Amino acid sequence: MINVVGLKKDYKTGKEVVPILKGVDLTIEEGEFVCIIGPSGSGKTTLLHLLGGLDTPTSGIISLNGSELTSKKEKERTLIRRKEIGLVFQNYQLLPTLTVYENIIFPLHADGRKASHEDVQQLLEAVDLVGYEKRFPHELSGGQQQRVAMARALIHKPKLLLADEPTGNLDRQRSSDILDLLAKFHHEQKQTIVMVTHDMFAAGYADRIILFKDGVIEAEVKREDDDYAKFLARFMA
Amino acid sequence: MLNSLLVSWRNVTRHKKRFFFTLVAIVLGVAVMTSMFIAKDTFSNLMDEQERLYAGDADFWVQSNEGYFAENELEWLNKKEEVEEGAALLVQKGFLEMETELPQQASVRFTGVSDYNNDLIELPVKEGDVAKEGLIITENAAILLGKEVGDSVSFLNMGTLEITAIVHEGAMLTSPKTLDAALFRDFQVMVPLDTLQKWTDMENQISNFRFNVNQVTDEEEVLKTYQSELAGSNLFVQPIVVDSQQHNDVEGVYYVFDLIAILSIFISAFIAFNMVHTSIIERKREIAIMKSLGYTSGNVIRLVVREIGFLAVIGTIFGLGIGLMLGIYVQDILITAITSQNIIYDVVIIEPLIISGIVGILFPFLAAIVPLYKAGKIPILEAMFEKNTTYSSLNKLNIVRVLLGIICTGIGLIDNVWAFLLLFVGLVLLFPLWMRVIQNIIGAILTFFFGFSGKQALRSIKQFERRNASTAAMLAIGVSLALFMSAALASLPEGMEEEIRETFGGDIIVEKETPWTDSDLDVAKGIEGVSGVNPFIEVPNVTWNTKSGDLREFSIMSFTDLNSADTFELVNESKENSEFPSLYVGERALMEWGGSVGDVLSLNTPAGEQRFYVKGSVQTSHYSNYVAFMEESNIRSELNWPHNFHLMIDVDDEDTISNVLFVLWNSFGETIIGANPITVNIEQSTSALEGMDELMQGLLLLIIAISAIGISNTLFMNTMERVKEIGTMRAIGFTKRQVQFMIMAEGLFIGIAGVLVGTVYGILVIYLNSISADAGGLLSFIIPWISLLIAIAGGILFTLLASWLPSNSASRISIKEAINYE
Amino acid sequence: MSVKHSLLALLYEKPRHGYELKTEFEELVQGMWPLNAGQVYTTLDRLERDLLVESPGHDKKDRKLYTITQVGKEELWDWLEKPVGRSLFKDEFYFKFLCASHVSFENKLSMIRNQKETMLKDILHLTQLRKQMTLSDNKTMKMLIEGALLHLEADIKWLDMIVESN
Repeated sequence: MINVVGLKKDYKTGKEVVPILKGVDLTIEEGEFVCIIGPSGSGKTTLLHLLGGLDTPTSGIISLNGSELTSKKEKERTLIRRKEIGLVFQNYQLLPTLTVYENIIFPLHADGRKASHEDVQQLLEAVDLVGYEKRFPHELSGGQQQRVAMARALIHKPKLLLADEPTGNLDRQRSSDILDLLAKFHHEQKQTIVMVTHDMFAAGYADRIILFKDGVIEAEVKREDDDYAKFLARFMA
Repeated sequence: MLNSLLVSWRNVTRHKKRFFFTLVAIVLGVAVMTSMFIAKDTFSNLMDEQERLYAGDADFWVQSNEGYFAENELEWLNKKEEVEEGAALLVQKGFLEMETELPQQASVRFTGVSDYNNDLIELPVKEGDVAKEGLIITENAAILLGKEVGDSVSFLNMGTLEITAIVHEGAMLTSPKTLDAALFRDFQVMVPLDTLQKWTDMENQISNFRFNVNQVTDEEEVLKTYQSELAGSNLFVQPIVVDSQQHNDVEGVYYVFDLIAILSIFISAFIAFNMVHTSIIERKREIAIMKSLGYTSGNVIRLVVREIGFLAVIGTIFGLGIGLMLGIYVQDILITAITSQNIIYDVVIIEPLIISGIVGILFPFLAAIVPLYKAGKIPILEAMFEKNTTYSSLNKLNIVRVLLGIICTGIGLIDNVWAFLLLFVGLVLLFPLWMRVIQNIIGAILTFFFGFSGKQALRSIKQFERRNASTAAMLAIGVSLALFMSAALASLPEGMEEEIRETFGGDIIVEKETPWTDSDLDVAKGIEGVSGVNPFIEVPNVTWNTKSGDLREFSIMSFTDLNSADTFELVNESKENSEFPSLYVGERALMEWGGSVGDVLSLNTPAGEQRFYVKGSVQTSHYSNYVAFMEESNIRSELNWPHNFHLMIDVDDEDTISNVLFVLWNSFGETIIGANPITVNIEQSTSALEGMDELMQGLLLLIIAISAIGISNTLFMNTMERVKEIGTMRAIGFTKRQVQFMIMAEGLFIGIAGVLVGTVYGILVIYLNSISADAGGLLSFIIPWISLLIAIAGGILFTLLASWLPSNSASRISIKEAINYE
Repeated sequence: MSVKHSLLALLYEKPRHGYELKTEFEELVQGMWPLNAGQVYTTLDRLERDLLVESPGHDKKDRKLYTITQVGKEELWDWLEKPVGRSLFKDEFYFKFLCASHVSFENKLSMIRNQKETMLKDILHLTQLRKQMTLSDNKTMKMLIEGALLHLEADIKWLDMIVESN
């Protein structure tokens, strides 16, 4: 599904060049639920943005389903994102002038497609927002907003869902809801999920956990591995 | 389904007040532009219409260098197949049987027409039947004389005739409105030709013969043939030309109208730019989100374009409506100011509306090009995750901008109309610099009056420096142009008077139906107060083609000696000589022709088609500089024009002019076509300008008002972006009043900066024009104190009004909401 | 602990035999509390002795059936209604920490680290379990897990606190 080779990303602040990603190699299988954890500034979010084609790397290659993303122009990347990728962000990033319904169908609209009413209804039920279609984002709670964002990320049935700290702004209960939703969708639709988080409780949902530190993959562990917890403890300590 | 239009509408109306004010600005901009175009087109249409009426359906006319000729001399013409219709006209003088203080007040100019039932003479009928043979008078005359259709009018020593029709004032017939006006203008009436011939003992004599030819005939061919037919005789043929330029220098008015239209649309465009720009900066994050969800740059641009579309379409529709009303009103004032009689006219609507509509719809998009481009280019990540999107403006002056501003200003100082515009571009570019300067000067005052609020206001002025500067710049341009216009209107009459005095060439010009004989001259010379008489030649109705092929017409006036010629000033003279006779052409005519000094100009003269060498260009007050001059001996030898119908009289003292005129009318009254004293000439030239003074001031106040709307809008945006900040201020103890003062102080600062810089630039522009060679010394350096006061008072008053609303809404910002505001 | 009461609860539902009780119990706790058959039978004997359950006879396969008595039901109600207090030293790690401090145990830090690691393991395990409960829509277990997770979260914070204050 995803193949990352020698990925590097530098940021320029004034005259200084700060390397954020220092060479990342990574393969993610189709249908895998991967969680990327690591301290802030370790480059995990940057990796997610690169995977989503929101940014271009300084060097290195990202392939999605065998086609190279990194060599494409912004417009082409946008078109890929439109069709294949769903995005969820920490601060929801809903469009304030659109209603819940309009927010959800926006990716289809961007792609020039019409939304099937059943699809939207199904999603609304799944995220427990039936009856909220006409509300505007500012009329919703944080958890509800993130659920709208989830629905929006999934309306176009993307093969890849990228979630950047989806529970970062929420309390335990609400983040549990979101994670449950994520688990449910993953179980039912088997899309590939890459989630960036620093929340242990979120990490527990993944099949594989990748630890980022200082712009490189420090370690990774699979659910079935024995040293799973030890590995996590090292990161937490 | 996601309705894109609905979403765009929601976006554009998200900030209702900002939307409203921007809309108002666009409406006003379009309205002012529309009204200017309507006024301009209507006026120019009116001019053309008047000429067309005068020419009627006629293509050519035959005249004689003697003034009159016998009808039977044209028998050959009547035999021509291509001639469809012809009418013989006789112009004669006479007097009404009426008690008046001075004889000339009762003077009448008769036009005798051979056939009332023709298409060659068109009259704007008010009452009665113009096809019925009888006396036709104008509306003014009917009112002044208290006559109606069916009444009889008697003429001194001539006879009595029944009125068969009353017509509106027009090119063919006009009459003075009052007895005062009658001093210098004749009552023009139309009578049957044979009646007039009998009354004036001019049996068989006519002044001119008008005719048209059938469609299939080549008019140029006809002209050539008839010219050769008439070669060597006293008669000559000319095409009838629609050319009002010799009587009105309306380009100046058109120029002013265009200027106001451009200015108003420019200011509106700026306000639209401001709104779109701010709205895009505010929505950077949203746009980035859309892009992250699959919107391409094209999608984003389309989204914003739809929003601007709403503004443009709604603004234009209302603007056109209001502009229509304003245009009719402006037009009314204009006609009253420029023409001294009631004239019926058709308001030209369609074309101005179409042009204004197109401009109105387009200009918001043009204004939004840069913001649109920016919107498309918004980088997803920065915009989505940036914390402070609005506070990124640097507090450093942009060096490139200042440098560019200095360069533009430098070019603007060059003496050229177009370079002039750059002065204002420079003004806009340099405005942040001026703002800094003014901040240092009046900052202390503002702080003194508004206390801490004032200090805070200065800080926020800096925060949104660029936007505030541009807003103030618009006001400054409005103010400086208001000042310039006032100065121009105040000094133009002065300049014109000066020019008339310099190039009139004497004190009174008298034109007679018959040539001035030696005995006539003796009589004139003998009048008390007359110090000199100089007969001169004026060849009327000389026609020519412009370089682009349009037929034009002017007169050629004579001079005796180039060195002592006092009817014009030489501007440019060629050192070369030519085999063709030399001609000195007025600059306006030269420009209309499209040639230059040293070229050869071909004219249709009483001697047929002839070529002339344009020896020089001149400046003169005669015929608004739309005229040519030639040496008298040359005219006599080359132009087949042997007689002097014109006389220039010099008087000892201008006070004696009325006496001289009185004697002249008594002596030559029956043959005088017109007596034109310099004083009346001056008054007529300048009164039109004075009539427009108030109109201009009103329009410029309107422009200042539009600028003020810009201030309102800017302040709304400034507060909107500082909701959180203002909320915090309120939370930590700023009272509502202090917030209000703060915003008012901001507005006031913008207003003062605009007015101050506008005043300085205004005076600079007045000065530059006064020393400009291009403006031909028409403008002198005067500071229009009253306008200055109006501009300052108006600018500051409008600013205060404009600041009041935003300050009020800022003071009502709820603390709680503001702190939670994202 | 309360194997006794959980058996009462299962019998309250319907009469069951011993092996059935063992499997039902394990399902109830999602297999996280293995119970051997002997423990079930000794408990049942004790319950029968205390007249909390009685046997109506054997089923077709000759397995002894049990039913709950009125006294048994009352005992179950009493137990369910009785609130549970929290003793400071009920958590063994608390006690360990106390003792370690008392003997100035040098490896206190590694002790804490090991504890934390165990807790994280538990968290991961529980979150995974929670995921399964979500998919199988078992709301009661989800709530239990949620509670346990909250406790673990608090405990980890507490451990971090100890480390920081040292």
